[in-house]
Amino acid sequence: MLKYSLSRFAQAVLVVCVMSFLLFVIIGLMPGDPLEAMFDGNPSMTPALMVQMRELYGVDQPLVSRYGNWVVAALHGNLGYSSLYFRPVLAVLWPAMAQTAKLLGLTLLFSVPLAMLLGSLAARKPNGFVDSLIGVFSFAAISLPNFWMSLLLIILLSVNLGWLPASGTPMSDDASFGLTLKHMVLPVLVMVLFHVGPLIRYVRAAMIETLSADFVRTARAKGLPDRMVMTRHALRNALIPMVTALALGFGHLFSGALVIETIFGMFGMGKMIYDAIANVDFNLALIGLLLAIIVVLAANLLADLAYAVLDPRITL
Amino acid sequence: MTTLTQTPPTARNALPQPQTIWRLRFDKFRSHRLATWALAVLVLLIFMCLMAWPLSLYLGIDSNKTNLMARFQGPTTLHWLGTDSLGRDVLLRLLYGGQVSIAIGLVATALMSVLGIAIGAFAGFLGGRVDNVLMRITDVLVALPIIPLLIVLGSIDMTKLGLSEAAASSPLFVFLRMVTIIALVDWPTMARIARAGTLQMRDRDYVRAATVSGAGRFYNVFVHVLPNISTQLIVAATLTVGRIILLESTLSFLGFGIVAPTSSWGNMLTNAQELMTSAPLLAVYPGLLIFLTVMSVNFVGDGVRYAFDPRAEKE
Repeated sequence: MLKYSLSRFAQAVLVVCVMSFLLFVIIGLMPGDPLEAMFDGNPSMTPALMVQMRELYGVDQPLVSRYGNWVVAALHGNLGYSSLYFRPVLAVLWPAMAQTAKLLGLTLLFSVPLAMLLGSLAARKPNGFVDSLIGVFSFAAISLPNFWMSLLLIILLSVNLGWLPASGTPMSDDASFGLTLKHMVLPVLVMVLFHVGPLIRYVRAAMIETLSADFVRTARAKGLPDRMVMTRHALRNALIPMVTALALGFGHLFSGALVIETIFGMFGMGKMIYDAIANVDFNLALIGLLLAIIVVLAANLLADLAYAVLDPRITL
Repeated sequence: MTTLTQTPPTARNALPQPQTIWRLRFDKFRSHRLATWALAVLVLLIFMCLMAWPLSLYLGIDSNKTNLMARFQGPTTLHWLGTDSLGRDVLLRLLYGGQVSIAIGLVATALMSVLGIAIGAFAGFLGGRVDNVLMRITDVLVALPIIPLLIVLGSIDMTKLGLSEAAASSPLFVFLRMVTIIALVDWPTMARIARAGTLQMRDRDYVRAATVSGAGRFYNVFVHVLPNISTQLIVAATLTVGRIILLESTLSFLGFGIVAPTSSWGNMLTNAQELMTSAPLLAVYPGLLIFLTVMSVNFVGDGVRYAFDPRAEKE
């Protein structure tokens, strides 16, 4: 177990190193260069001065040594300044992470129980009426463009009916808890719809498999009520593979968060990455993307280990 | 004598006619009612999108021509679905946009399939260290958030790679670039399926027999392995088309995919947020078409899966 965990951890570290280099190269290929963005429109900037500046900041060095400088600085905790927000990258990063954690946490809070409920309902009688209905719902949820759904809900619930605010965060920083929650309703609703589709199909497949297992038949044979069999025996076992499904879908969930945060103007990791790339903020884009990758990899690593802890039949 | 040698025509007809596997699959597909309807909707949608050019000739309008005097018009005899914020015809832009979205879905799927199958089949067939390394890469790529990666790949300045400004902004190049970056990020799903199938086939007796008779690895993969896992690959590819159309529209919506003046269902929604009070219908049409198309493709994919897999259950 320990050996396995360590080797998986080492692999993840290796992946982060490789990805950081690849991202460094790709982000370097975005239009312009960091110094141009910094001094854009500054009248006292002459070409000669620009050359001096390039030398000073090391932008004129070859790619590999620039990457080396960046790694050394980053390991010393110096992630540079964001040219978009005129603040250190880290100061921009923390609030954004907190915002995304809130959005994803609330989404999972609703989507996982909903998927469990609908998935097991569908699995009860495969190909029955309820199953077909839930099947069409999950297909629709998978096929639904989440940005369009957001627009429709804003038009209907915010513009026409005025029930809910169209933005994901309240205007003032010291808004009450209730108001903050009210602003989160639409984004979370769209995120849940976006997330729940594939999850339902997954739970359904796992449940159908578990329901044909011997221990379920035994439970039924000894006269347990149907609800007891479904929840205590079948669902519990079907949940174990769901940990993997959730972890694998975490990257997908993060992609969704980027779109939703951008539409609802919530300052989270997704919108931060989007803004950084759209406004060619090299430092922020690099760190934001790398952090997103680290979070996703960590989620996968944890899921793998959790799998072994949750299911005593599995040894690593 | 003659009556005996002649087979009675009734007896011959009583035997079931031999049917090709494709005929059986077609019948099975047709028995999947949702998939059949979805296929009809899809064919209709594609036909309508292909009518864009004849229609623009008939109406005599250029879908990219802006007319600021005719913004936000309602449906008229000239503009059947009205005009957008720049006075362009909405219907024609929808149809042309559909051509772009569907073409990207098909071409990107083809490209990612070739890439994924090549990597997956060879990883599975070679085994050992090559397989290990390739599959670790696949595991990582499958887990990564695709949209942020596509955005950063979409923002690469091609002139920095030595392309001229004009070439980099030509519609054809934008299309190819879109297809390429999607295939580059999305191949792992296909590679996994190809590898799993290859592993099943690799140690079959007929593959071993071929190896003993002197068949090389390439020969084995192409002649013995790939044809035998083709059904799984076709099913996976069909289901991929829908996902890629969604990806493309999301990217174009965010401004990193197909850019104006070329229309796509995604980029027609980009400005919809500002027009929500004045022209909410402009936000409805493109999304509805994306939803219809992706849903139909997914149902067709489910039908294909059902038709091709003898053990598959209907959904």
